[in-house]
Amino acid sequence: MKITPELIRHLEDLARVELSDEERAAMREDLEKILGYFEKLGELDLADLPELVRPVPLEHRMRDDVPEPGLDPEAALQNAPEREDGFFKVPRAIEGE
Amino acid sequence: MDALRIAEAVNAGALDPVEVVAEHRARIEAQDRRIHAFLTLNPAAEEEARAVAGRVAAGERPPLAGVPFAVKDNLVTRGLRTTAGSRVLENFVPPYTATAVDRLRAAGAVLLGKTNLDEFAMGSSTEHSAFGPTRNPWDLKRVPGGSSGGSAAAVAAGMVPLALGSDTGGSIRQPAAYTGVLGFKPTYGRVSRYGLIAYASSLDVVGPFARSVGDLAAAMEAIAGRDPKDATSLEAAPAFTEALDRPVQGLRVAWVRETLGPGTDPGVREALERFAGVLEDLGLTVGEVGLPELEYALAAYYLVATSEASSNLARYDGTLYGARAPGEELVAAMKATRARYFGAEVKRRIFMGTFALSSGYYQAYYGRALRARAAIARAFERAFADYDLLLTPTAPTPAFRLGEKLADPLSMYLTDVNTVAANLAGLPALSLPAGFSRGLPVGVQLLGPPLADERLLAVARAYERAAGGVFRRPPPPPQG
Repeated sequence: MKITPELIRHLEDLARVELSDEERAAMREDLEKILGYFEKLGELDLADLPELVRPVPLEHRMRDDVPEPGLDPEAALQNAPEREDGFFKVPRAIEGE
Repeated sequence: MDALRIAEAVNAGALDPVEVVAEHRARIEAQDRRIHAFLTLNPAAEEEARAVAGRVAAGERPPLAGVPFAVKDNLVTRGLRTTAGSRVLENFVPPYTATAVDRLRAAGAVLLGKTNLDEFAMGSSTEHSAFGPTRNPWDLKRVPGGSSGGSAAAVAAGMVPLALGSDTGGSIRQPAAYTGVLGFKPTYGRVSRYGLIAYASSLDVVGPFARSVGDLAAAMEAIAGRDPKDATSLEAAPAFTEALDRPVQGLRVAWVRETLGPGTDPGVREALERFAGVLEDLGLTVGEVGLPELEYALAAYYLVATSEASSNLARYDGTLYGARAPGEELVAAMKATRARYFGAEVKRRIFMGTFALSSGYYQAYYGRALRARAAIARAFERAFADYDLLLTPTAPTPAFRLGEKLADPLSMYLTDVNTVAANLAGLPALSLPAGFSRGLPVGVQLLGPPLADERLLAVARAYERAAGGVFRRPPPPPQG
């Protein structure tokens, strides 16, 4: 698998991580090498096998609908990078006024 | 002193839990400047110890009364900083506590502190911690393994008798092998993951480190069992202590041939042969089985783990908690935050997983990995139709040197080659000290079918008795 600079830029957008030029070069090299090793999975005949997402089947259970105390708002906000009037505050998400 | 002996003495009124805390704190002070197992010490440990003393005075006999324990710093602890070994959580103080930690406390154990790990448990050496590496008590120039290297080193060096770790692809077993202690990865779902900072949710399990099988079983007894806060936790009631003395004679054991290839260190091989000889003396039959599908386990594992990680780590975006880099606009601030506060290995895995899940590559990478996972689970099912337990070296070699594998991520991943399959299939697996190679500890891995956790401990206990104990104390660190 050839990893192009364009693919790295695309992954930066998807993963919301901006790399430096130096990191981009290293990431290309590492991904090519690691994904190259992973390609050995192509040797296996997997045609009749399901996609096993979870190793142990889930035991489905319903719980009683009993109200319980939730997280105290102050505790929920205690690690917020920025807050205002009991709310989380984040940078502007929509362009324009 | 081991955990159960401390608890016995505390419950008999012969030992004060506050003194136990002081003694272990002194050991940490004497040794941890060189080993760096701990990231944060619990300032309330004495207070917790006094509360346990009060419970004993009131007539309660908690099974782990006054036992000091350490916790890998990816299990959240209310009011006590929890970093996951990452700059992004450097100042994070959780508002709640992980179930496994709560349950150890309920059993009378006293939290001494939080231990070092590879950032978000992504690594095999503890060198990927943002706060510097942990060193192996057996040789300070070597790694303790990872990602639970801090917990393993703390138990090996005698700083605590008991510690919790997490295991996504070998992160309890490989450091246990490298440091000469016992490490247990339970069946997926036997221990609640509530409060475990998620890396790869379908692979992650919480489990204990100890220096004796009895202590390991006592810890499992305390932490296992259904938790309403984790929908994947299993109903199966813990029977670990009771199961220790089950007969093991006649059990059918087999080496997994593919794990004894040319990459296996000769000293590791010799130690394992001696181990198998003891099992035969105990009346178990030891055979050999081929599981060719395991050759694909590492590739399947890293694709599944990184895919899940790329999703799980999306939450570190600087909005609700954790570090935030400045930025005028939301997406730019997120990208800057994640660029600045994630380390190189975490970024590498996020990119790998993002790639494997991305449109156009999903079927060829993530989809194929999940089908290989099914093939591996079926291979184990076939093997367990003929055998009660499987054996492998926990790792192909003893602990490697600091820095040795940092420049080549794939060589680091290959140290997990024997451990990842158990996570893909959800199997219980135990790493047991089985001797030494050139003065460094060697671990043997016992694997069982799902929910055979207790059987692994019974065999380990029989071996421990025959061998006169499995733990050897590492040499004291050089002064200066």
